[in-house]
Amino acid sequence: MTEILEVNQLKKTYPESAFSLDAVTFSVPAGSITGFIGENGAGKTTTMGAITGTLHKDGGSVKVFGEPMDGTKDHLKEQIGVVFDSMNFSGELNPMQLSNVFSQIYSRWNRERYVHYLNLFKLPGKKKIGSFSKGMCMKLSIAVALSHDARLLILDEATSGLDPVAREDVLEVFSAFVRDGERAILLSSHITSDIEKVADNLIFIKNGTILLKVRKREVFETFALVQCEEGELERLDRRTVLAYRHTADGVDVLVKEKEKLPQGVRTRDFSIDDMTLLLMKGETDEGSRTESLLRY
Amino acid sequence: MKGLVLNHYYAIEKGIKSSVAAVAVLVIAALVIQEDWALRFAVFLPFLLIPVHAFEVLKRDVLSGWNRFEITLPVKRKQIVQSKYATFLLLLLVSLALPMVLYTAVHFLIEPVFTDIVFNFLMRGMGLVLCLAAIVYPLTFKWGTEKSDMIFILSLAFSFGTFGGVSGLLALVIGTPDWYDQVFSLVFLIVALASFAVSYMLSQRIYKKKEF
Repeated sequence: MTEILEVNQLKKTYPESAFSLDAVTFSVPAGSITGFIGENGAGKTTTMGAITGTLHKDGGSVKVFGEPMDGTKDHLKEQIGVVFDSMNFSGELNPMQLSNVFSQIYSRWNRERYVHYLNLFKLPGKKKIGSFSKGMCMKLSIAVALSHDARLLILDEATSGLDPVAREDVLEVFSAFVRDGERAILLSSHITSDIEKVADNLIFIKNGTILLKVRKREVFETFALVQCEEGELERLDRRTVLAYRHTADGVDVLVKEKEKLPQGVRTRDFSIDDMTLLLMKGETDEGSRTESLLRY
Repeated sequence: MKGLVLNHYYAIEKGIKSSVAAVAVLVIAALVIQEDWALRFAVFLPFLLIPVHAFEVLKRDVLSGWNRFEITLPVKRKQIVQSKYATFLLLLLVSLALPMVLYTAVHFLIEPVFTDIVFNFLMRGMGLVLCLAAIVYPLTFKWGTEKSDMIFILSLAFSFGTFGGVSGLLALVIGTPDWYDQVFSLVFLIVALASFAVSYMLSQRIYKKKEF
């Protein structure tokens, strides 16, 4: 499968901060949506900043459509749509003025498609952006990202601030975007239910380190969330335990290769949210945090 | 770059229109009352009111998040800096053109108003605002808009310091002959243009390394 985005050994440190991106490596295949999951400050925005060029990387490489990415390559940037979690445009402009601006910047700016998305998202064309709610701003940013024939969307918390109905519409648009198999999306979101709905691949990041890269289908086919008593943990094959967390009712354990679970072990349905909680807050056998067990 | 300048224009369009209207009214009023002080002030005024809107763009870009977003657009960082300086220069041209057009109309249709003094004030006004910009841009890129008050004070100090410095130095070199005012105005404008050019190069260097 063709890789639309390849991030290899990406490193980034900040002066006066202990945080660093630690050799982050992953790829986003064509025709897929990759969910990028982690707590605040885990490194999602830093990774996306290093990919899009708003931050200078300290090491590693980023390839887009097979070509090394850097800030001077306008032909690559033409094909990337970016949505940040905060407002992107001046509040004094209205969406139609914004279209005039982008028609001078993007060689393949498609005004008709843009107007289509404005209508779909119920955004007024002539109202000042400054009067928009956060949700409307996010929808406008998404409309822009979808209107210049991009092949890669990098969406940092793009669904935050959207009401459930709007989120549904936007997620449907994202799924349609990658349907032709030529495009891809890297999507970070705190709302893991959004990622669960549309993502094909999942990447979990914590403290600047990738914890786990996995196909979503594989998660639900081969992973299990075991609920057991304190003593029962010993019955599990430790090599299959990804993380465990003590709760009021016992221990929640995330395991892979669920077919290796011993008879009689109690499992329950789980969501990406449950999995995220275990990976971020859970422990490993050695009592260390999960990243040491799962480091790639 | 056209798109970036257009974005700046839309962001400050209202302020520019108000300033241009106010300046036009005041220049016409000065031409009507025909007092020397008013005619000088009227030439100077556009430079005080119009190009400063270009500095406002810097603040708005940060507040709106555009400064981070524009890095992801298919434009180079060099062009982003160019667009900010171009916006300023366009507004400077408007500030120059507005009194020129009005004074020319009065000069040829009613009575002569163009004097050496008017030209001197045009050059000095341009020089002062160019010196302001020469400091505002690189320091804002370096320190951020949160230090804008301090940057503006520094830029004023630089503008008037350069004005006084050039004036003092020139008086030392050539004395104060009858044509001193014309020479000073011209030399000050040249020094201001040179500062602006150096500022542009510095800004390019700072922006290249900037992170968002």
